[in-house]
Amino acid sequence: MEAHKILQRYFVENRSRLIDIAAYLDRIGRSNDFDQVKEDFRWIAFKKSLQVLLSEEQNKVEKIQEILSDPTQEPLESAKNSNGQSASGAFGDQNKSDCC
Amino acid sequence: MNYIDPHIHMVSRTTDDYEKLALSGCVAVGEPAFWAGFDRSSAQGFFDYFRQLTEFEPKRANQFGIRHYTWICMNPKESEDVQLSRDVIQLIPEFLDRPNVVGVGEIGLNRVTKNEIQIFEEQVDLAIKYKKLIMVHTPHLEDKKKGTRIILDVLKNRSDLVIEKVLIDHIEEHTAAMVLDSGYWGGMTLYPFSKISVPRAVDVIERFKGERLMANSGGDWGMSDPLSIPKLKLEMRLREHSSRMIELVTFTNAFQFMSQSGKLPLKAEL
Repeated sequence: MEAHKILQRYFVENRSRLIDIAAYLDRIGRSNDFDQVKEDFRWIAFKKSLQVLLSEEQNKVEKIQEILSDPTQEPLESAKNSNGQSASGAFGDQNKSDCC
Repeated sequence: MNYIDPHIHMVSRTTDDYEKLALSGCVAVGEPAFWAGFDRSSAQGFFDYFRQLTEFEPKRANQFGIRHYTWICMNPKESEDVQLSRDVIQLIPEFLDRPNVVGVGEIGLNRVTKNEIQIFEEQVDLAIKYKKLIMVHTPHLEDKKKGTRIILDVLKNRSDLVIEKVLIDHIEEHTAAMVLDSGYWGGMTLYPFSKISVPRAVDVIERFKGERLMANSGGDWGMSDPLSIPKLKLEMRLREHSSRMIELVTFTNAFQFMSQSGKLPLKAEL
């Protein structure tokens, strides 16, 4: 499909997604404990991912998936001590303490 | 154009959903055994669940002209409990020859732990011993790439494994190449928030030309859409894909893969 058709067809829904992300960031930014969030591994990964969106390079999806993935190689010793067995969507200190 | 949903958890869906599936052209579903949203307390709970999958659900589906196929296993999430898993694995063989059972699944990894890997390997053993198809669940979110790589490493070590009999499910952009380049079938689960969205799934289809790829709704008790395959078909039509390509990823590939079980009728009879 030609670029101009892709731009046209998906523009409004992605405009909406873009504004949703902006609103999400504003919502966090308005909170009283915003400074604590700045060190959260999910916040850091999110902000890093936004940099990819702004770049001119291709394969943005995979680059963001890499940022949000566990880069370690070894299995966890147990699920019982890994944040209640649930994946959080990004890799950070919570996971690191369970690993290896 | 009819379609197959090769991965949907109908035990979690209402009878209304069967009607909607039938109205939208679904002629067959594949239902792998999975985590019920809570950990079961004994192997007996699994025995009853396997009876539901092999006795009750086929009848419910049949009311709407849908053929119901299923997969039996200990799911990855509860595989963390090794003793319970081994008790459940002992129950599996008696279900494998039931008319609607096409294989062992969805086995695999959840948080990518040593126990999960151990039980995954034991269930691969079981499937190979009984010459059954395998459906593999890959982990969610940040665990997906690491888990998929370890799953492929485990399978690579099995020289007696027939690669064409294995479906690696829930692939996304960052795991599609490693799965498909290794010769496995790849499943894409169309979820509203996690896994892969309809437009992204079509991007993957375009990148890999649809070969050995199949789409599924993964419909279950969580946020999911049992009608996501018709939505994929619509997206593909809007992007001017051929009827052949749409049929390939929503019917033909799933049919060819599951037909290896010997449990499906001829294509024209579906």
